[in-house]
This record gives sequence, structure tokens and C-alpha cells, in this order.
Amino acid sequence: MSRICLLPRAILSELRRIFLTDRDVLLVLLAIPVVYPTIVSELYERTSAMERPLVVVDLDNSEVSRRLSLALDATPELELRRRVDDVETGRRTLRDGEAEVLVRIPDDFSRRVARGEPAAVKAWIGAANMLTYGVAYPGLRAAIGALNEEITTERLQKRGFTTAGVRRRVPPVVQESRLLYHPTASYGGFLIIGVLLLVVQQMVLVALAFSVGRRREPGRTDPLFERAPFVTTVGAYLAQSLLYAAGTAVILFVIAPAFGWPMQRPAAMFLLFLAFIGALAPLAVLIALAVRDGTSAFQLLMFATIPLLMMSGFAWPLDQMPAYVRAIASVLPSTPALQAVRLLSTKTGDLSVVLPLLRWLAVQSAAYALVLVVVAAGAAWRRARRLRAALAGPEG
Amino acid sequence: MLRALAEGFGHQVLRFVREGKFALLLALLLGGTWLSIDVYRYLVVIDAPVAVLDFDNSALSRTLRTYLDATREVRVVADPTLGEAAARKALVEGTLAGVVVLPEGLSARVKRGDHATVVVAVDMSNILVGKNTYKAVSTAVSTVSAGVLITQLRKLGVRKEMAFASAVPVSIDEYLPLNPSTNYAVYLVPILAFALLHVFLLIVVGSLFLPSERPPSTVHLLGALLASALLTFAVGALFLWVYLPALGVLPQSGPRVLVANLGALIGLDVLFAAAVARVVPRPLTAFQLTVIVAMLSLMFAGVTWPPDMFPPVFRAISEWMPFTPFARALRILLGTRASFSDVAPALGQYVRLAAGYAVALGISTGFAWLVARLRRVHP
Repeated sequence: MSRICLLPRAILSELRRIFLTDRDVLLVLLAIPVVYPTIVSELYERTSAMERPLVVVDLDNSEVSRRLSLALDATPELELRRRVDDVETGRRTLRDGEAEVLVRIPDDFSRRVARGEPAAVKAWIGAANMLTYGVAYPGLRAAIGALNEEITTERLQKRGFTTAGVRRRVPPVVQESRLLYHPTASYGGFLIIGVLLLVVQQMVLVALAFSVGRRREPGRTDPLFERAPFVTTVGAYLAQSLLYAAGTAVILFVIAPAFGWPMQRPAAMFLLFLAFIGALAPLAVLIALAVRDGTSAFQLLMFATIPLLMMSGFAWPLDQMPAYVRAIASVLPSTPALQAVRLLSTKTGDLSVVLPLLRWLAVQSAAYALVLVVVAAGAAWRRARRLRAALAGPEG
Repeated sequence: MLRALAEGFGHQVLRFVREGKFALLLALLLGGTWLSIDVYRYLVVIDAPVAVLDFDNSALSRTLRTYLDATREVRVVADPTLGEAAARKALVEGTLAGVVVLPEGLSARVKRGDHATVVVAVDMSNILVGKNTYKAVSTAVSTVSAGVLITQLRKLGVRKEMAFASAVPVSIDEYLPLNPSTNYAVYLVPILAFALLHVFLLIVVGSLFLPSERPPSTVHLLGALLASALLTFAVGALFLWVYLPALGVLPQSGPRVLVANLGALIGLDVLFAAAVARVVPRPLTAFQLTVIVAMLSLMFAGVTWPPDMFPPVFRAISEWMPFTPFARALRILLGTRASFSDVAPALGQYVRLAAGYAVALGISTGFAWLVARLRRVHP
């Protein structure tokens, strides 16, 4: 009970450290939410990777082959960079990264089209980068599809069909597409908002562990922490919470709108981020208590960012992962939080839709809190035993 | 000197075994990398649930449904009672990846020689699932459409062999170098694994320049750097010949060029961390800068997000990051039987970067020596 009374002192001590005595903690709390999101946002500012470089080997050099080249260049997905004389040169451009698509038009292309025979073009598409492949491939298909429609229309007209009749018939089944929630399918708009949540997570975990770790370094030992490590760490978390909230506000109300990252209702997203910061508290305190010095916070926690993002189901769907990976992912707070971020960024601003995910987050938080209580109680018991042994030592 | 080198080496090796923090970091590297890459065990996104609202219930609509269900990317969710409102709700909740509406009169319109429209709604909130679903649905619809046109042309008296050529005059023969089965494991797994290795090495090497962890002499430091480099090399080899093959990513190139590429990354990383530690006056800031560069390396390498989309300043920075040439070369080395000449641009970049880091290191060391000497002369 007496230790709980130390909480206000612990909060004040942390605030004093942040603003007066240990500016490195303040630097961490400012740099993580400002520098990292700005750099990443700037990197993905162009959101969609369009106009992928195309190289054409036109062995036919006819009116139809030039029409095809122009049709390919006219798609927003492809940009004809140059024409080369042979496939070998074209493949070199693919290997060196100068081109991502190589199209070879055979020398009998126009002859076959004129005769009404099937003609084939060869296409090499660099699929090592699935993102650019996913852009270039539909562009190629669209250009060939449009050319096919033109040729079919011309052929049917030659066979005596009226223009109106052909237009009604080709193609017989038309697809009307509605791309819901994220119609531009831009990569930046899809990825960055999730990265921002992970930045907030790193801010909380690293800043708290860094600050608490510094209190344990030789030459910096803190009597308050020595006396009540659990309460001091909780106090540090509470004191830093103000800066977590401020950092989150900068991310969501300044950086995200400046780059146009999607949010249905920024206020709802802010509440979600705050709930996430709150739910992280027991885990953050547990990690901070385990860290032995300030640099360990960076050494261990920064390393965890990439696996956390990969396992969260944000990019690769959870149901497509092996069962044991799903099980591990389910105990990580970033998993439900990132799914909620997805919903609030693209689908709805209604927080009630993410309630099941918030409940999942709350259950995780309660479980971590339970572990924390057990760990803290164990540590207190061990400390008391050591103290008793030390007191009994000289007599016994 | 050799004894100090061996001591530095031995001490650093023992740290990975005895010191909790470094042992945990190594465990995180091995375990975290395995978890990160095993996420992609199933290689491609398959069986995204798509509902078909069939208001036509004709032979044509049933054919479309069958074609959709036959693709690997989607599976048709059979629920004849599913209405528009329920489908919308399922899309919001994410239990459906898409909805295909086959309107009443679809077949009749086609038979009359009119366009028939199929409405496709795809959830693009996850672009990976959305694009896969969209591609699968589009392929199924265009295939059925081409089949319908061929049938119609034959009914109108066009000969069988001419009908196909009239419906699909130009076709594409596709070749997909470096990733023929278009799977995500080939695309992401190697880059992820080695990005984590690169982060690990920079953290370990960067730590050695912190006052609390710096070995007692420069020779001890060299020994510790050598130990860290060799350990990282061993883990890199484990990734190349155990982790990646376990996910079906078999290196196509020979071991010599693969080892050279890995060795070049490791050497460059050590040089980079040393240069940053020398150039940045505060050791903690230098370490933090090294960690930040390590964390950003994956995005800056241009292997996931193409570099031509970067702002010009970032494109220039990317060219000076040690992971960039490695990642570019790795993609070629894993996907093709490449020799040193095939990765010549990356090798050239390694040399440029090494020279740049060495110059920075040399200048800052010389400057520090000069300052120290001046202080001795004029205390």
C-alpha cells in the first residue's frame, strides 16, 4: 500500500527526467512519432506505382504492330521506354532493371492478323516484384484486350455485320466493376496507415523501456526505482502517456492528412490509437521491467517491428498463415489493432464495427496485466526475502 | 596483437552464449525470421470467399459460377438466400472478398446479340486479396465471354477454325522470369530474411562502439567485429541453404557468387557502422542513427516499392545504403543461374559504397587525431 502512495512521486520524477534531467528520453519520444512517419510517408507519397517501364522488340514493324505498341504505351500502367532489335538485348534490360516488361511482336504478326489466323505476342514480365507485376500485367492484358476488340469488330464488319450490331455483340459479356473501400488500390494508402500504428507501438515500448533502462545503468541508479521498481515503471508509463497522446495526435492530425492517408473519421482513429496505447500498458511495463539498460531497449525492440508487421495479418491474410503462426499472432496486441485500423481507414468511421476487435485487445491486455501482477508479486517477494536474509545475516 | 585479437573475438562469441541480451537478440533473429517467412508458407493467396448472386440461373450463369470456382484464387460461397444487404454487411465485416451479381435476363440478352452485364464488387481494403480476387473474376468472365462469342460466330456461319481467331485474334504467351509461379514467398521471403540479418548485424556492430560495450583496445574491437561478422555470415548461410529451401525458394546461382554477395553485405555493414560511430560525435546518437538506417533499409532498397517512385532525395540516399545493392543482387542470384558478371552493377555499387564509407571513416579519424594532438600541444 505504501508503495502505491509513491505513484504520484514516480509520475513527477519521470516528468522531471523527460523535461529537465534526461533529454535523451524526450528525444526518443519526439523523434519516433515525427521523423519515422514523415520519412515513410514521403517515400510512399506517390501512392501507386504506375507507368512501369516497357521495352518492345517489334520484328514485324507493321501498322498493326505499331498500333499494339501505342496501345501498350497508352495504358496508365505501362510506359514504352524504348524499342530494341532483339530479345537478348530486351532481356538484358529486364535483368538490369531498366525495364519490367518486355514484349516481342513476331515478324508474321500482321500477316496472321490479316489472314484471320491466331497471332501471339510473347511477353516477359518481371514477377520478382509482385507489386509492379500486379500493375504491369493488367495493363498488358487491357491493351491486348482492346486491340482484340478492334480487330474482331473490323473482321465482323467485313463479314457484313452492321457497326451497331457488332458493337452490341463484342464482347458478349461485359464486366462492370466496383472496387470498394479503396478504389485506387494504391499501395501507400494501403500500407502506411498500418505502419503508423506500429510506429506508435514502438514509441510506447521503446521510450518506456529506454527511460526505465537508463535508471538501472551504473552511475544513473535511481533510489525510487530501487525501492519500488513496479510502481516507478507504472508512474513512468503514466507520465509518458501525455507524450504518447501528443505524438499520436501529430501522426493522425498532421502527418497523415498532409500525405492524404485514408481515414474515414480521424477522431475515431485517434480513439482507436489511444485504446491501443492503453491496452499496451501492461506489456510495455513488463518489457521495461525486464530491460537492464537504455540501449537494450533499442537493441531488442526495434528488431521486433518487422516480424510483428508480418504476422499481424495486415498485409498477408491471417487465414492464409500456418496455424501456429496464427496462434502467436493472436496474442500480439498489434494483430487486432491493425485489423481495426484497416476497417477505420477504408470501410467505416463507426467504432461499433470494431468493437469485437477492441474486446480482443482488452482480453489480451487483461492477460498481460495478470502476468505483470504475478511477475511484480514474485519480484517483491524475492526482494523481501533477500532483505530478511540480509537483516538476519549478521546474527545468524 | 594476435592475442588481443583472439581475446576480442572470444569475448564477443561468449557474449552471444552467456549474455542474456545478445543471446535473446540471436534467438529473435532466428525465431523472428522463421516466423516472418513462414507467414508465406502457402505461397499465394487462395480461396478468397466470393458470393455469386445468381438472379438468372441459366446455363450461362451456371458456367460463369463454375469457372469462378475453378480458379485457385477464389472459392464461390454457395448461399442462395444471401441478399444484397447481407452481402454488403459481409463485405464490411471482411467475411466476403467479393460479390458477383449475375442479373436476371443475362442469358436472354446474350442470345439476342446484346451486351450482358455482370456486376462485380470487390473489397479492395486489402489490395493483395482484392487484386487477386479481381484478377480471378476478370479472367473467368473474359474466358466465358470469349467462349460465348465463338459459339455465336459459329452459329452465324463462321468456320470453327476461324471462329477462335475472330474472338481472340491476338493472344499473349507469358514468361515470368525470376518468379514463374508468381508466388509471394519468392517475392518477399528472401528479402525479409536478409533485411532482418542486416538489422541484427548493424545493431550488434553499432553496440560495439557504445562506451559501455566497447572492447578495451582497437585490436580487441577488431576481434569482436570479426566474431560478429562470422556469426552473421553463418546465420546468412543458414538462411540461404536451410530457411529459404524450406519454403521452396532454392538459390539458382552457385555458392561462390552467393557467398561473395553475403560477404560484401557483411563487410559493408561493418564499415558503415564504424563510419557512423566515427562521424557522429555522440555514441548513443550514432547508435540510434545506425539502428534507424537499418530499420529503413528494407523500404529504401527499392525491391518492394520501386525506386523510380521515390522522391529524388530518397533515391539518392537509397543508393548509399549498404542493403540496396545486396537486395538487388540477391533477387537475380536466387531466381537465375547468375555469375559475377550478371551482378556487375551491384558489385560496382559495393565498391563505391565501401570507398565512400572508408573515406568518411578516414577523414573523421584523421580529424579526431588532429584535435587530440592539438589539445595535447595547447592544453
